[in-house]
Amino acid sequence: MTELARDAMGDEAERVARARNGDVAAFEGLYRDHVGRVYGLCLRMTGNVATAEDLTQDTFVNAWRSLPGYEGRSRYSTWLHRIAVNAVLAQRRAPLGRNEVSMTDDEGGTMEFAAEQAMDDATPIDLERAIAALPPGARDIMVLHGIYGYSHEEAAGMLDLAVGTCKAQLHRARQLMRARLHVEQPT
Amino acid sequence: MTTIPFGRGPQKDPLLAKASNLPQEIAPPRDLWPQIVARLVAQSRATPRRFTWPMALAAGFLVAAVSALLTFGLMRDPGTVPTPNLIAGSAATQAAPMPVSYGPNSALGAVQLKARDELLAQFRQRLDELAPETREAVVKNLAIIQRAADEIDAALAQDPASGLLNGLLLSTYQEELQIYSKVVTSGGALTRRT
Amino acid sequence: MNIRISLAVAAVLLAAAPLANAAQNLNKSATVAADSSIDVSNVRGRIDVTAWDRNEVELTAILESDKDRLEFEATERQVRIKVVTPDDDSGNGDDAILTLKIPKGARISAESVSADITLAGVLGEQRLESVSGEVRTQAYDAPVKLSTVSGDGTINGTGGKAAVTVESVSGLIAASGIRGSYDGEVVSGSLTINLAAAERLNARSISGDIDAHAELMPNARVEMETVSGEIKLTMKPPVNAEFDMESFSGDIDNCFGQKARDKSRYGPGSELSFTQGSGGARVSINSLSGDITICDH
Repeated sequence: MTELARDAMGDEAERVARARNGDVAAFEGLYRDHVGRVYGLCLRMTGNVATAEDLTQDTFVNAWRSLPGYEGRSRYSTWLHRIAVNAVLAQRRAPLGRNEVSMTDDEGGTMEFAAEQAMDDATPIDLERAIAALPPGARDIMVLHGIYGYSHEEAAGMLDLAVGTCKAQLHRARQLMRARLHVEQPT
Repeated sequence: MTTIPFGRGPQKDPLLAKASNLPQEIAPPRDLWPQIVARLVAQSRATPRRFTWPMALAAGFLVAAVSALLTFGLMRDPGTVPTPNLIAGSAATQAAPMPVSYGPNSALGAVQLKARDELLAQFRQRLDELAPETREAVVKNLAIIQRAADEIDAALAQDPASGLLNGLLLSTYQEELQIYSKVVTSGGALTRRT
Repeated sequence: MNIRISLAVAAVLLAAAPLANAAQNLNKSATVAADSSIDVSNVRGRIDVTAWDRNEVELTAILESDKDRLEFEATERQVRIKVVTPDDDSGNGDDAILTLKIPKGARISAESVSADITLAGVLGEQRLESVSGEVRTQAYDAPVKLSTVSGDGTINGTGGKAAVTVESVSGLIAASGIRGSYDGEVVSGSLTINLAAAERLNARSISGDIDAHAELMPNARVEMETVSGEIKLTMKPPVNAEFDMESFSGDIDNCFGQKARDKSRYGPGSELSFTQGSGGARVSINSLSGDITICDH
């Protein structure tokens, strides 16, 4: 089934064009190609497998709906990531019930990474854990800039923050991570 | 890791260099596509639904209906259903009315029907793994949906532009997909055997 | 019977007897954040969850089969509990009984094949899925999603504003004591709804019956639809709403003194559209052949 979606259908631009016209098979091809990056981003930004799954679904459903507005000015994967970041931020902002506890955790505490997903032999576990332990603001910029390579300007746009704020958050992220990793790996 | 002098550009920061080497892709623990497809179909329902079928939508449906009729031709004859990954399955599975046949007056677009193909192969496989009484319940409800599809189709013969009937048709098709999607994804305890 | 024969008989009996199936009793616990996420998955038996004030997850598991395995993974923000059955599991009937205590603010996702799922006191978001097990829970202010294939379900609200979502193929699902918003669909099951301060009420069925009691807010939007089931909507008076109802071949009854009329002189279908009181809320109900009844008592 996925082979049918993935076989010689031309390059990604062609797939996007077909998906815009309602071709579900083309959209599935795009899904298979990009779900890893979308899920990876959602998982690291939320630190929670079930939430990351939900948000990944939301991202692709929203992407289908917004396809008519995708003009190809940015790369498709960047465009998808923007939708994913919006989904993550919207989920954080969701109004809390009367007795729910706020999820912001300003000093990072001792949060640990939900280990099973990213952990294969090649992954530096300590680094993922250190990132997952960051407070949300610092974590967001470390994920977008540090892992996914977006510039300060791009990350600021996605997070709807001033570039200066992003740079400050990155500085904080690096400080916190160095402190944590230095403690764990004395040299 | 030794202390990193403050003020170095980010490209020279070993920490960021290491972060950039982390894998960008992480596979989700299960395939999310079936649920995404079910939601895409749900979105395609016409809203709001008053009693006059919007002309633009009607035209779109007519266009889709032409290609849909070709698909219907295939769907109505089980012998020619093109499902390369079909697993034969139990007798109960083979006897089940799936996919549901939508009649000649029922205009379901090729997009929506294609979504169903994606789910069907996985569904047949999972159906056989269910307990017999649950499988019976699923098959029985597919028969109920088939009956509903037939009744709606007969009604559409008398009133093809009816917003009510076309809305019910889409809802019925959505329920069919929901059954497949539920069976495929809600057996999580079974699918994650190690 | 001499000794040799009795020994031979004993040997045969021992060889024929199945290995004693030792039940496994397991206890696990973990310290977690107050708003952590709990994922629990079982095949057969029970999942019973109660909430407490401690920032801890405590699990007592009884696995009747010694071939089943319990997985328990915990970090501060997430706990995953899973009963794993062997590949050749063909419904040997052995249950796994999971009794869980979780922080009351935690969010929970529970799924089973036939295990019954029961929750009490959980304030966080709930996602409960079962193929054929029965699902029972209480709703507070956080969203509750309940989904079954053939299992029945009960949601007892406590007056909080939980957004309730219900999906079932053939289960009978009852939700009461909830406020605000409800979205439900069944194929042949039934939906029983009691919704206070209703802002959104969506209910759909193919052949199942829908019986809803609702207190409509001025901005309420109600959409109900069935192919051949019966739809009954009872609204708390005074009723201020615009009604838009249509049925292809079913009856449309009401106690507001209005009469449905034929959609067209020549064709099938009847409809009834009117405004009751000062309007405000909007109610739309459609069916193919199912009967529709609306009333304020």
